[in-house]
Parts: sequence; C-alpha cells; structure tokens
Amino acid sequence: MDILKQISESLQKGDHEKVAMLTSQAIEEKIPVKKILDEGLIAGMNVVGEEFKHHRIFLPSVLLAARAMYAGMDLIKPLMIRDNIPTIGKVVIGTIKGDLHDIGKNLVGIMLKGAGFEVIDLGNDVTPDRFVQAAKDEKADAVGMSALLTTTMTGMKDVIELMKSEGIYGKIKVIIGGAPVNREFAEQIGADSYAYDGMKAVEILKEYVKDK
Amino acid sequence: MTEIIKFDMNDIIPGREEVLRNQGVIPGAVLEDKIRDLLEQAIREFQSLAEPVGVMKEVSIGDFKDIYKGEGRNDEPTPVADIFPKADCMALFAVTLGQKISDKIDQHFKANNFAEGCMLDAGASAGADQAAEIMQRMYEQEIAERFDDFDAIGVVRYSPGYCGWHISAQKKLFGFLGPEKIGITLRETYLMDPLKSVSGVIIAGPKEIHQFENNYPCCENCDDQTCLERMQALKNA
Repeated sequence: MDILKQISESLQKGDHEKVAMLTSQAIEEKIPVKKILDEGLIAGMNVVGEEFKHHRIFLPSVLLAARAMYAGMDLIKPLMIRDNIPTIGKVVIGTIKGDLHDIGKNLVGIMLKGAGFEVIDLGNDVTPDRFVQAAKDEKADAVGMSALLTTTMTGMKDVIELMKSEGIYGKIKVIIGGAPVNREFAEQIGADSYAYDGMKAVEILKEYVKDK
Repeated sequence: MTEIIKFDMNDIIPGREEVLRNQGVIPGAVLEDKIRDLLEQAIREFQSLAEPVGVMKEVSIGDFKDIYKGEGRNDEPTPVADIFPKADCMALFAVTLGQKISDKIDQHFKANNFAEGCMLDAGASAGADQAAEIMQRMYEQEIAERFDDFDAIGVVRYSPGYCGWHISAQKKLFGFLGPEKIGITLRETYLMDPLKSVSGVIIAGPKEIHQFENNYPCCENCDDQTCLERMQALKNA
C-alpha cells in the first residue's frame, strides 16, 4: 500500500507510533513534505472529521487520531519551516476573561492544528486587549473565543468592540463557541460565525481561508 | 456553624456512562476496546488523585441578600433573586477535588495525550458535581426534621456564573464561607483554584419556589436545558 495511504489509515486508527514511524520513512524516501502533510496526515484527519460529523465515531477516537496527527506533524514541522511551506491559516484562540473552562477551547485548537492551521493559544481568562494584540501581532486570519459561563460570554462583545476601535474588525474573522453561546448570540454581538464544536470550527475556518 | 466534609471516594467516583456522555458519546454506543481502556484508566487516575473535600455553612436570608448582590453586576431579574427571598433556609457550600487531578489533566494535554486528558477532565467534572450533589443531600438530611411535611420541600443548589447570577458574587460568598480552609482560592477574576471545584448556595423551601418560566433575560441566549430538567425532576419527586 502507498505509504501516504498507510499514514492516513494509521492516523484514523489513532496509532501514533505507526504514524511517526511511517512519516519518518516517507521523509527518508524524499516524499515532498507538503505531500506527506496533505495526502497523509490531513487526508487522515479529514476522514476522521467526516466520521465524527456523522456520529460514526466519538470525541475520544478523534483525540486519539489528533495525537497521531501531532506525532507526524512533530517530524515534518521543522522541514515545513525550512522549506517555507505556509500553514493553511493562522488562528488566535482563547477563553474569555473571567472564564477558566478551557477544555472546549483546547479541543478546538487540537482540531484546527490537525487540519493544518497554525494556532496561537492564549489560554484562559483572556482580556480583550490580549486577544486584539495577539491578532494584530500574529497577523491572524481569525480570532476564536470560547466561554462556558452565561455571565462571561458577554465579554466576547468587548473583544469585538475593541477590534472595531483598532480597525481590524472585518479584516480578521471572529468565530465563537462554548456551551451557552449560539448562532443568534453570535449575530447579536457581531461575530462572523458560531461553531458548536471543534470540527465545525475547522469547517468554517477552512471555507474562510479558501475564499480569502 | 461551618462544617468541613470529607467524602468517601466510593461515593464520588463518576459513573462511566456520565463520563462518556460528557464527551458526547451516545448512551449505549458500541465502543472500541481502546476507548474502554481510556475510560478505565481515567477512573483509576480519578481514584488515586482526587482529594474530595467540602465546606458548608448555613446562612440567613438577610446575609444571603448581600452575598447574592455581590459586586452589583447581576442581571435583573434572575431566577435566584426571585427564589431566595421565599426560602425557608439555605446554606453556602464549596467542594473541590484538589489540585492533583487538575495537574494530571494538564500533564496529559502537554504530552499530547488529548484523549486521556479529556477523559479525566470529563470524569473530574462529573466527580465534582457528584460531590456537590452529596453536599446537597447532607443539607437535606440536616434540615429534614425542621419541617412537618418535608415532602413538600424542594432543595436545589445554584452557583454564581449561571442564570444571571454574576460570577463576581464569588467574592462575598468566599468572604462568608471561607473555602480557603479546604484549599480553594479565588482568582482576581473570581474563578476558583483548583479548577475542579464547585461553589454556590443550597436553597430549601416549598417546591413551587424553584419553578420558573425560562423567560428571564439570562435565558435569552442560553441553550442549556438543565434548569428545565431539574424543575421537572422536582415536580416528579
């Protein structure tokens, strides 16, 4: 079987050791790094994403696949930097000020990285200033905000207002998520999108960078 | 009087179905062996790392009025604001699973062991809720003899950060309850360390005071249906 297909299939099974071994082998065989990434690792994660979307697999399986993705990425990332291979986009993510619940945000970050994005994770309890500064400094394509508390989700609007006053609103996509958040709330505060889970965030942001 | 409560680990071990449900796994779904292994590993880690402890203190309606008000940042109106003045009695509470389990979750994520980290996180969340539930039941037992017809009494807990009760109220809640005694501290942003901690008020009163229409301002953007489930459960009890 083609080695890239083997990488993809091992990744789907969550076999991180095999993915690392096969990725090393592919590098030794001088397969272009971009091809290993697109046709091996990302191809595998795409299948996992579809399976998850259709409820044929659940979050733990996705996370095992993500670990396998990272095992491969760790090997090819230095080569991507060396060869100036760009990521598909850059996203600044964080949990809003006053909120410590960052498991959902972590999962979004894992899935975005798995899809080939560069992720700048600001952690939890992030102030509007930090979101906006990081978005500007990193020249991000998007800002992703998460909240779990109904009383902190309103802080997302503060970030958007600051983005407006700093002149980056409309240039950088804003995507929000978290248990108390919904599409209507996203519209109310002026966010571009709402994602109910990490895979949806990947889908939305992939479309965005494709159209950009 | 402030009571410090040590929990029996067997009482707070999270149910396997709940741990899976917290991660979106449909009940009854057929799971691969590796997922079952992850679940069992998380349960073992929970048992070895969780250090569950709680603190509870009864509070008067008058004192709670000030605690509820917090820093003056609550929505108006809120369900809790309408409920507590009609209560017969209430107690503040806080529970924690301790720092070790949160550290382990962080370690898993840092080592890219996402599935292990997420499984343990889901288990710890379920365990912390279970500890809060036990506190509530203990309070129920404590107060039962004060009522002629305890079957007519509903005992429900509410927490800052939810249903329009602003999280900044944690400051006064902590000032009155003193959860520092059991190792819980409050950040400047009113969040608790260790992360797997739960705080709030347990309110006891006629069952009907806990029933409300979910048309408060805080309900507008809230998709969480747990209040409806809780009210229904209270009606059926």
